[in-house]
Amino acid sequence: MTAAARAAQRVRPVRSTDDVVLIAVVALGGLFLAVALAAPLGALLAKSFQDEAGRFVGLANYIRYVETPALLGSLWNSLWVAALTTAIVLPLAFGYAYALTRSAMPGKAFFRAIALLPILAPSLLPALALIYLFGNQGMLKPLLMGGTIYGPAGIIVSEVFYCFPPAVLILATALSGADARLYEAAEALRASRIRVMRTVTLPAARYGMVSAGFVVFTLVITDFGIPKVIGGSFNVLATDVYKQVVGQQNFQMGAVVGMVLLAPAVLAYLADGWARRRQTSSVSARAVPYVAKRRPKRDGPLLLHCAVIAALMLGLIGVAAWGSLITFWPWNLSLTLANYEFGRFDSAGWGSWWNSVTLAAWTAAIGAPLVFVFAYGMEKAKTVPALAGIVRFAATVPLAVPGLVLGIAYIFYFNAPANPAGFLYGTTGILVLNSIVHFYTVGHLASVTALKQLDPEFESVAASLKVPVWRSFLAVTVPISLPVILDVAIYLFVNAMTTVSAVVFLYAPDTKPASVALVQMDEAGQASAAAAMAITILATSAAVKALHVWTDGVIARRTQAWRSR
Amino acid sequence: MPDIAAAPRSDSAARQVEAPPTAGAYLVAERLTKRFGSFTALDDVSLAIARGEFVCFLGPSGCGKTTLLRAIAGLDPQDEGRIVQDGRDVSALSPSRRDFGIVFQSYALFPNMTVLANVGYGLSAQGRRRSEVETRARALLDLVGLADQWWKYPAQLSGGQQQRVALARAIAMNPGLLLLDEPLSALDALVRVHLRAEIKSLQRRLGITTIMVTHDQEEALSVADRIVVMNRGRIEQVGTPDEVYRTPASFFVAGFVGHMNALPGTVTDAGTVAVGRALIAADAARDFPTGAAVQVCIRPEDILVHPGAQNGTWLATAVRGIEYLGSIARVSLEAHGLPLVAEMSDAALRSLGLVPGVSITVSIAPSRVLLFPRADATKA
Amino acid sequence: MLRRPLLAALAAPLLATLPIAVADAQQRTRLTVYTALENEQLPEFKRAAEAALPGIEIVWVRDSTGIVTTRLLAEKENPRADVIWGLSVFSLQRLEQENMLLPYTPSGAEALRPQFRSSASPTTWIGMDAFVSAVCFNTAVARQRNLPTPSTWADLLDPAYRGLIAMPNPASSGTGLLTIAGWLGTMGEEQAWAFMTKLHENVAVYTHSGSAPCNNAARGEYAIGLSFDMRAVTLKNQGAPIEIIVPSDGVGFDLEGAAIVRGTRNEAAGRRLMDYAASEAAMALYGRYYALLGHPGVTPSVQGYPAAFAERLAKVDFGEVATNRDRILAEWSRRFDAKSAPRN
Repeated sequence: MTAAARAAQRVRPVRSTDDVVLIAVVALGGLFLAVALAAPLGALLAKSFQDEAGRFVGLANYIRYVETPALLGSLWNSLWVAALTTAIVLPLAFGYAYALTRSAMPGKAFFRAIALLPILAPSLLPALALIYLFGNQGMLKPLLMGGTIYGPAGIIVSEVFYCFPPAVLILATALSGADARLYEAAEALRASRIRVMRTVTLPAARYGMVSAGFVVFTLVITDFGIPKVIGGSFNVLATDVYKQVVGQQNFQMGAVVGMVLLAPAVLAYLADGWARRRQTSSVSARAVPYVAKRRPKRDGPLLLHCAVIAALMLGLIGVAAWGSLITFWPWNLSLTLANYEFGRFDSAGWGSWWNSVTLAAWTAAIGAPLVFVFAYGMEKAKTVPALAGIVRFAATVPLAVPGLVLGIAYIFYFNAPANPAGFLYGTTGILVLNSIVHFYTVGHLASVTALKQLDPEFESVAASLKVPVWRSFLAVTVPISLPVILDVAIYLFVNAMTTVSAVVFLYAPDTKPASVALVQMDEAGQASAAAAMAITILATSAAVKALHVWTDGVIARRTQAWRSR
Repeated sequence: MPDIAAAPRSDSAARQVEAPPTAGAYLVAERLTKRFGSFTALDDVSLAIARGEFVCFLGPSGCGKTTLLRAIAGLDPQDEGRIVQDGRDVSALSPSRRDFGIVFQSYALFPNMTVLANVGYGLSAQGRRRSEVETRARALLDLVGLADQWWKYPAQLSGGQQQRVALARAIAMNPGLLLLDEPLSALDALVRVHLRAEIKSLQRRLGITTIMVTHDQEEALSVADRIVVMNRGRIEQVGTPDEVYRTPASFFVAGFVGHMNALPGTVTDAGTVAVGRALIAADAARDFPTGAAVQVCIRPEDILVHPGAQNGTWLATAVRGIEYLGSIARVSLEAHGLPLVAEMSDAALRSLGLVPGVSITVSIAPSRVLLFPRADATKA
Repeated sequence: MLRRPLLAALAAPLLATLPIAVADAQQRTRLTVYTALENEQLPEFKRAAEAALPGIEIVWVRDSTGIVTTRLLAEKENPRADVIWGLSVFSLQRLEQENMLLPYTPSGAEALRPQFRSSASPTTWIGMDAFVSAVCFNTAVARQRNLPTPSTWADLLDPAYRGLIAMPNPASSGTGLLTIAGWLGTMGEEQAWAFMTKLHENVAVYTHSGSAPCNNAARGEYAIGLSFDMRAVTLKNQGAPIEIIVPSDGVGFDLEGAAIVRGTRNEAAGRRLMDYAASEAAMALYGRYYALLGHPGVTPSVQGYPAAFAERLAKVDFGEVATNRDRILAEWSRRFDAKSAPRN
């Protein structure tokens, strides 16, 4: 009875090498986000409590904010426009993603590519195209029956176009992890299609739905390019930041509005945690991947759904492409290639295009592995839940940080004379860093969604086999997740290719990106040249995307044996 | 017939857990406690397992059996207590520093690797020569009867085949301890029966100390050398299958393992209990004071219908229903308003000509009547 | 093997973009010049300046006035710019308040109009040229809708223009501010606000940038865009059917100026560039685009400006506007900015 006699001792688990590796990954992730996100934002947000001379004034700026009716009006505008856009995007994207993953509809590869087209294009593109179509001189202006495209209508349509791809990306990832056996079971139980949708499909995709919803919501809230071009006098939070910071160089009030914009990040984090508690991994190692069989009654409407959306997207892009060839809209509609001679409009000429390609390639090549490895660490480092939680929160914050705010924060932080990382300032490096951080969240969420669908016991088995965690990560997790990692890389590439708001403050003479050149041309009234640059950016991204599709095909062929039944 | 598993749990005073003999044991767990927030998953659990033993952790879901297994593996370390494996205190060690192979209900096979690569994964990670790994992996596959499937991917195998691969992988590194976490729960009934027999024979051949977690008492009874019955984070009983079945240590074990007639009763004297209007002779009554409230438990097969059973309680009953189970049948009876279930061979059923409505006298041996304190007695 | 060629395919373009160390030793001084000049002017200005100043290379960082100013202020602790050449004087005054400009009186500065140099001595900035608020009037739309051609600000109150006017939001656009400053200067506070309140009835949209109203007018989105002359001239030269109207009842104007940034590591080269920026040769260069130059002795060669243009300038005290800016903007926002959606 020696056991009973002795008092039970508390256990202090000795950390294994694996634990240390995972903790190190999480810590590195935390450090990365602390240096590249938290510290710059902190430097800026400190300004929200200061007056112009840098003296601490407490909440005075906030009080002034609340007392300004115009600014509060923008808050309300932002909220309802974002909510409405989300309400429109989610069902459309769900139907689209559902068709891509759960139907036997023809042309899936084509539709998958089309769905991503909008993120291949600068966000100004839909707005430009809408002006060609529905502006006061637009070809389809009569369809508005006296209404105007400038204002909430134009913003919402453009935002739907702009937010559609990330929503599809997240939902398709969530839906592609279906376990065929659940469907067979449901079929055996003679559950109706609607019931199967309600009891099997939607619960499995719920995490994705919540994620997608908040991604869209915050993208709309923080987007600045679209409201600027097509919003008319309709004020939203992001344009308020612009007005305060760029119009009046009032960094203090800009920081206050930036703080207000951060609220969605907190909401997103809470919702993420809520969904996380309800999400169990839906694909265990024994799960049988779902392969849709042909069913015309389902596939037909889905095909129609996808075809209509794809046609609208191609239509908008087509209008922009046509616009890029017009000599002088709307007075001289003869076609010309002269708008592509960028040297005529911008001293950097085609050089800015190459700058963008460089920036995007580095962002993707560094960002995608980084995002995935950090996401893996956060999911697997069970011994440091508090640290992982904090880092996870940090990873969701960039989504809610408007590019303008991030860009200015970067100047204050990285250009401070005392900052040892100051050498990055004015190089492509800072643009790459900024782009990785700016677009971190969607890649992170996609990675997490994919990781959640892996059997949680892989690591347990590997540990029992004495295989170090990094080896299993490389041998098992990465190969299984390769499509997602590639998706993230492409997402980063195209966003770095098209981003404006943050980099506009950070580019140096030799590193001006094409997207900035595009905005400058638009501001100079060279609409057709701007459209031409937009199409050039789109074409570049599309070419990279085509390479991606081809690569995906190769991977799918090579891994067919283990991915399908 | 009421399922006793759902009946109120016996008072903890009935738990007669023997302190296990720790000397010479291969695996010793001492006073393990594990909490998840306010929920206590393991409540001061101690256990010893001998080398080469096949032990089953049996209990309803949430009883702590998987938690105990994962604590032993180091996957979810206990908060308090000590685990000694093969003389080495492993309490604080991470899974990779311990010595075990594990099989999960989900198989957890690496989908992107062939069967051969899965089995050889641990070996090749150790930097062994490729040919050596392959030879060993093939030998293991041979052992689990999958020698000809080595080139396939997990998704191309049936569930039973996948679990065999997982088993081969788990023993590939010659672990001292094999942990099986509900390995058969995801499989079809027939495959389960097959595979559990194979696991048992494999375990005998290898002589590897094995712990299997299951919620299926039949599975536990059929394969285990010893069964650890758990409930609400505590061990209710540790014993061989027949001990657990014949002399359950608590009302919970009596109800959870096998079928049981469970009736509330009162001890009337040192040899009798009263159940409703019936008086039943019970040797166990001498352990209780007169008037004690007890649960009276009788196995269905101990309610005898054969004439000739001499001593014991005779009860006049009426047949209410018959459930055929192939070689045996379960007969629902009513005695003085009490529901009883008896089990008999099909042959006996035929020879007695039992049909619903027929009256029959049954006998119950006093030695076969089990009594447990009734928890709700004070409230009643 | 899948991975190798794939990796190689991915790596090749990356490696190609690695910044390759420039081999030839840099003899010339690189001056980083922040500017809001128009894109098409930059190559010409660079060529001319580098020809006049051997040993100096000009590297432009060009963006809109707001962005350039924001960048300069944000970089205050560690300035990246050497010289500012072509930035609104409103911005330069803001920088001066922040003590970010290095005083230097360029040779020849005394020849400039008094308004075209800072009151400090030595001067902190010099003015190059002036641009004025102007009305871009789309003649094609006017024909469609049978609109009269305005010639004064007061004309814009005509109900015929209801919903056809675009104007920059002064809270985000320097052009918007100079326009309002002009009205305040010529009409006096009270009348100016009354005018704006009436004009508000006709305004369809307050845009974020100063170029947008004229761009919109050029595209026919609106009939009238309140903008500035340079933008209007450029668009007209591109072929836009617009008429440039400089209202005869007084227009706000802004100067484009040049200054040395405090903290530059190339002060000597910066001074040389400032000397050039104030020279008659440079003034002639500005004169190809602007009708009013800092040097009264240089005649602008730009076409399309109304005669007697200089007389139409409003009395604008830049210092006063800069001081009262916050108050003016707050008042403007209170009155007009809360307008949530454009009227149709």
